[in-house]
Amino acid sequence: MRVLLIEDDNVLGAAIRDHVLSIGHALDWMQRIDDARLAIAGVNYELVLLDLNLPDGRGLDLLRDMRSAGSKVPVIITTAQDQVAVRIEGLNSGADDYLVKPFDLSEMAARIAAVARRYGGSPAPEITAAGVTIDLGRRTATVDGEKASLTARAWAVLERLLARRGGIVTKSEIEDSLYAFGAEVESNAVEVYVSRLRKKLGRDFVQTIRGLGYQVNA
Amino acid sequence: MKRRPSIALRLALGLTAGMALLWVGAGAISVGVMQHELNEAYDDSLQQSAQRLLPLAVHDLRERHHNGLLIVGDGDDDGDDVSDRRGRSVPHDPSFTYLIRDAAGQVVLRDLHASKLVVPAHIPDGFGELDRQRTFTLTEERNGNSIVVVETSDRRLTGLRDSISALGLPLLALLPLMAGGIWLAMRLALRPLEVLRRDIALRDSRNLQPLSSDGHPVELAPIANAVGALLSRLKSALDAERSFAARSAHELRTPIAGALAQTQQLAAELGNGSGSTRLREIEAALKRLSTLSEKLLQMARVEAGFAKSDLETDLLPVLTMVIQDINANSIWRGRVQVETGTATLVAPIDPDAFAIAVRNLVENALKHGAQDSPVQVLLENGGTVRVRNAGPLVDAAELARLGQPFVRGATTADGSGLGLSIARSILEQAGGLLVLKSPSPDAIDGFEAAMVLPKIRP
Repeated sequence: MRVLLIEDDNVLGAAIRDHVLSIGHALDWMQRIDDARLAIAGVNYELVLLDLNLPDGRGLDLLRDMRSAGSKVPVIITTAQDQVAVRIEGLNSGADDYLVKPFDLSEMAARIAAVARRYGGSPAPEITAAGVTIDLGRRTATVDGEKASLTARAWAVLERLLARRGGIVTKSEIEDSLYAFGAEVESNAVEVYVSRLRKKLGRDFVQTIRGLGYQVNA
Repeated sequence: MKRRPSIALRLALGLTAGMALLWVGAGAISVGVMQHELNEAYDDSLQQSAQRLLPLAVHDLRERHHNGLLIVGDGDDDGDDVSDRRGRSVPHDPSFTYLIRDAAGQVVLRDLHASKLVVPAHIPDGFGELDRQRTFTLTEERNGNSIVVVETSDRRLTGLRDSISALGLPLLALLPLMAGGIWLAMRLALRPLEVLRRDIALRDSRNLQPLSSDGHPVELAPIANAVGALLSRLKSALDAERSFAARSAHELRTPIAGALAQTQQLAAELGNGSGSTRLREIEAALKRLSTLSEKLLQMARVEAGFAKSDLETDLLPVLTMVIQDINANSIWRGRVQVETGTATLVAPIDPDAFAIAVRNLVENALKHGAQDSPVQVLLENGGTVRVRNAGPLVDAAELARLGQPFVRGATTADGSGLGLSIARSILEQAGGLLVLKSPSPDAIDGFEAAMVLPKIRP
């Protein structure tokens, strides 16, 4: 998943960035609203973590602009403001969730996964596809009753494919989920992770649609 | 209880006493003047009587060629030497009596009532006193006859007494009326003070608006202005305190969030490596610090008086949002069950304060209740929110202590001992009530915290 983090605090931003990267997602970190606008205009993010008080404006204004422009990217507000009015304003402006600082990184990861699942059309954390049971909440996969161990990057590819279960996910979309700005994209990385998924979850779990991309059948 | 002195009563009594003293003083002067005038008038009357009687009596004696004592009068004769009773030409006035002496000093004529008088033979002409009775003596130079007129009536005393009565009795009758009138006038005059008092009494931590009453009398205007200025300063101080507490909460959360997130990320990177245990302890300490600072700032906000509100707010969305937020947390996921039914929840309480109270009570139930049981949030018509959890029984003594700051029940779960206290302070400040019960209704154990919200003012 390609995540945009908009957070002006260096210490907190760095910790969130490292944690999101460690669970296999790609992340771009912006500390100002105008930079975030440019990033949103250029990249199809799958999730935005949005702080409300930023040096050059209010995060809620950015959120409203995104929704006005038709963006359906899930947005989780991360803020130190816990006032009911601000929270209601945030949710009414189109936020999908609201995390009040300080929060556990694991809690943030769970919220990210939950929001991503909602947008993927299957809010339940447990999915069964092609004989494989996958718990996205706990990040566990079971094949014929046996647990399969996956790396963070492999999970990121799997989540990206499951988010459009039955549909085709292009190679570049998967790459977007794996690499942030400035990261060197390895030419065969997607093929490598798809191969690993097939090895762990079964050969037919991920199908290659030649010339288009990849697909996980429902 | 000792009764407080009344300014109106004091002034009424003081003014009445002053007026009475003035009246008595003026009356005394009037009586003095009147007595002097009466004395002059009666003396004049006595003198004129003597001047009229003497020639008449002498003429009468000469006409009758009377030798010896002639007694005149209209009463019974008690004398033995009455020789003639025809002396009726001499006028008689009962207010005085008289006697006439010849040049030798012998009494030749006397009024019937003068028999009881012992009159010295030689009295100098003019006014005098005889047995405390006023006299006037007049001697005719031609024949040496003299007359002594003695005032027998107490008309001077009666006149004086009548004067005193005429001046004093109205005072006695008017005194209560005067006191009542002054008291009433004082009450009317002090009415603006009562208006000002009521206006000031309406002010509290949530209402520090300038005084609404105006047009104060000159004497009260400086007080009203001073109170207005004090309210303004108080409002500024409280606003600053509320703002500081709210801003502090915001400003503290971000660095704590940064430290906690960095610690957690470092712990995740270290895995079970060296120092991971210590890192987990740091993480736990940071979480306790975070919780404690959060609670202390909540207390600061409550003490700054932010819970009470003059606006009625629909709190159902707030309740729903708080419960959704708690249920969304992966630690508590799904443990809170809400039953709102058809009840409404509108009350005059600050929505942030209500959210803080609900969150504290629900988190309290989640932490300290049975971990395998749900927490129930029940909404009742009439503005009561009940938070129930299963768990050990809390005895009455402990129940009475719960809700005081830093008092914790018999639990090993994390907690600051402030959650119930904050919830109770919020409700009481807003005009509501927090009722704690154990066992939970319809159960043999467990705990219930009932938030009785303030009533909607008609």
